[in-house]
Amino acid sequence: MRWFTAQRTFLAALLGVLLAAALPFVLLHGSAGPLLEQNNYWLGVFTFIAIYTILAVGLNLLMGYAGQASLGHAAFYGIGAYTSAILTTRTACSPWLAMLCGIVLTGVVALLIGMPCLRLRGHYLAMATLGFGWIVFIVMRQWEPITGGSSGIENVPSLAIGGLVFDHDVKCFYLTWALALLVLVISANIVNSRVGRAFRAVHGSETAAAALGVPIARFKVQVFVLSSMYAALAGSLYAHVVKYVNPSPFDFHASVSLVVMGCIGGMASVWGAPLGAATITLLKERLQLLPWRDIDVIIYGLILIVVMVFLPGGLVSGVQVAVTRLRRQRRTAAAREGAPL
Amino acid sequence: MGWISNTLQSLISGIAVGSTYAIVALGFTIIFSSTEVVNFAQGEFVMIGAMISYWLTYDDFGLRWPLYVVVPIAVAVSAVVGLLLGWVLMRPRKDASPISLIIITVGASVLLQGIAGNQWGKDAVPVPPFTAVDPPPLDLGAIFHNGSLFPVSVQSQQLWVMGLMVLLVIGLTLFFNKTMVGKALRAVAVNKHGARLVGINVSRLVMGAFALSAAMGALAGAAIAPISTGNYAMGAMMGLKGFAAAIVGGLGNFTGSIVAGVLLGVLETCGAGFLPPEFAQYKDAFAFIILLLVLFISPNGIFALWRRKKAVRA
Repeated sequence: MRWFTAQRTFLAALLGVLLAAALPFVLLHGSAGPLLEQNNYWLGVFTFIAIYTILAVGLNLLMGYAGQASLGHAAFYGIGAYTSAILTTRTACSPWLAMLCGIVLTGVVALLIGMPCLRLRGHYLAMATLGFGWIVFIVMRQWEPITGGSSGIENVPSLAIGGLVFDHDVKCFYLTWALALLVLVISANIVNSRVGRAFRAVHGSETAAAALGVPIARFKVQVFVLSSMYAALAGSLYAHVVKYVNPSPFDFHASVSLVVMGCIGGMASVWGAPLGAATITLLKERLQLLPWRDIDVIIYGLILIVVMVFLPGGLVSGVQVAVTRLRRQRRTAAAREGAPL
Repeated sequence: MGWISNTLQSLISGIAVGSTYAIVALGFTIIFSSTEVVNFAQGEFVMIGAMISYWLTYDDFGLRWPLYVVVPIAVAVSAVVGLLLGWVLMRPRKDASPISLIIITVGASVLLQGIAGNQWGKDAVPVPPFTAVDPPPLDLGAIFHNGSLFPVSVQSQQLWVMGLMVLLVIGLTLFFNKTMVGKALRAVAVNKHGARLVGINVSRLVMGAFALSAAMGALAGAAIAPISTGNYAMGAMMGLKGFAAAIVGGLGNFTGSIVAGVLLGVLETCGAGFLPPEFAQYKDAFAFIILLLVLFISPNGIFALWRRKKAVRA
C-alpha cells in the first residue's frame, strides 16, 4: 500500500511536470522568435496559477490536517513579497537571499501568532489571522519610507541562476511551476510520512489522536508555520516575477480568495491545490470583464457557502468520497451476486 | 487643566464606541454559547444597520424616511439575514467539522460585504443622528463654583449609544432570566442534547439566537454610524473588535463581554489620544494586540485570571 502511494505521488508529479513543460509550446504555437524570450497573456495567467498553487497547498494542509482556517494568509504572502522587494531594491541583497529572509521572517511571525492561538481548542487562529492581515495591510499602506505606501516599490530585480535571468514570461512560467511542483511533492511526502499519519489522526479525531500520544498543539503550529512559509515563498516569487509590489494584492479579499481556493481544492488534499488555484484564477480573469462592482467578492461568498454546506470536506474530497462510496456499492452488489471480487 | 478635559472627552467617546463593541461581543456570546460557532459575519450585521439607515434617509436616493421608521426596518432586515444564516448553518450533515461551519460564516460575511459594496459603493457615507440637538457642554465648574472647570461637550448621539446599550443589557437580562424562550436558550447553551430531551426545539432556537444577535448588531450599527460614518467594509473591523471584547471578557461570559467591550473602546480612544499623530492610523491594531496578549496570558478572559487568584487565596 505504501509502495503504491509513493508510486502514485511520483506518477502524479511526473504527469504534472510533463503537462507544465508542454504548455508553453501549446500556447505559443506558431509564434516567431526564440521560445524563452516571449510574453503571452495566458502564460502570465498560468504563472499566477503556479504561485497560487503554492499558497493553496499550504491552506489545504492547514484546513485539512489542523482543522484551522487562516483568514490572513495574504499577509504572509505580502510579507514574503515585501521582504524580497525591500531587501533587493534598498540593499544590495541577492534575490535568492531575500527570498530566504522573507520565508524565515514569515515563519517566525507565524510561530508567534500560532503558539497562543493553537494551544487552545476552538478557532482563535482564524480571528487572530484576520486581525493580523488587516494590520499588515495597514502597515504596507502607511509605512511609506519603507514600503512605498500605496504606490509600492518598483524595479524589483528578477531571479537569476548564473547567467539565466528569469525575466520573460516563458522563463517565469518554468521557474514558478518548477517551484510549485517541488512544493507539491514535498507536501505529498509530508502527508504520506509518519508526521502525515499523525496529522490525519488529528483530522479524524483530536481526542483519539491525543490519547495515542500525538502532540496536537505542536503539530498544528508546525502545519501553520509551514503553510505561512509556503505563502512567503509564493510572495517572493510574485515580487520577482511581477517586478513590482503594492498593497492591494495582499488585502483581506486576497485572503478570502485563498480560502476559496483551499475549499475548492479540498481540505486535506495536496493535489487538489492546483485545481483550486486554477479555478479561482481563471474565474477572476473572467469576472474582471464584467461591469458589476464587487461581483468577484459576491461569487466567492456564494462558493464558500455552497461548497461547505453540500461538501464540507471541499470539492475534491467530496468527489473522492462519492467515488469511494460508488466503488464500495458496486463491490457489495457484486459480492451479493456471488461474482468473484 | 486642558488635559483633564481632553481625557474626559476621550473617555466619553471611548465609552460610546465601546458600547458598540460590547453589543457586538454580546452577539458573539449568544451565538457561540448556543452553537459553539464563532460567527464571522457578526460585524456585517452592524454594517447592515448602518448602511440601511443611510440608504433610507439620504437625499440622493430620494427616500428621506424618518429614523423611527428606518431603524426598525434596518433591524428587521438584519434579523432576517441572521435567521437565514442560522438556517444555512443547520443544513450541513451533523458530523460536519467546525471548520466548515466557520467557513460558511466567513462566506456569509464576504457575500454581505460584496453586496453592500456593489449596492452602495466604497466611500464613507453619512448617517443622520437620532436627535439633531446636542446637549450643552457639561461643565463641572458651572455646577460647583463660578467659572469654567473641565468643560466636556457631549454629542446627543453618544448618549443614545450608551443608553441603548444599557437598555439592551437590561432587556437581555430579563429575557434570559424571566422568559421561557430565554431560559430554553440558556438550556441549549448548557447542554444541547439535554435540552432536546426535555422537548426544546434546538434548531429553531438557534435560528432565533442568530436573529436576535443580528438585530442587536444592526441596532448598534444604526446608533454608532452617525458618529463614525458608515462604510461597506466597516463590518470586518467591528467584528474583529467585538470578538476581541468577547475573548477578553471570556468567550461565553455575558457580563465579561460588556465590561471588556467598553474597556476596549476606552483604551482605544485614550490610547489614540496619547500616541503621536503619525501613529494614529495604527489605532485599529490596538484591539488585535490586546486580543493576542489575552490569548497568550489568560485565554479564558481577564476575569478568569482574577477568579483564579481568588480561588487560590480561598
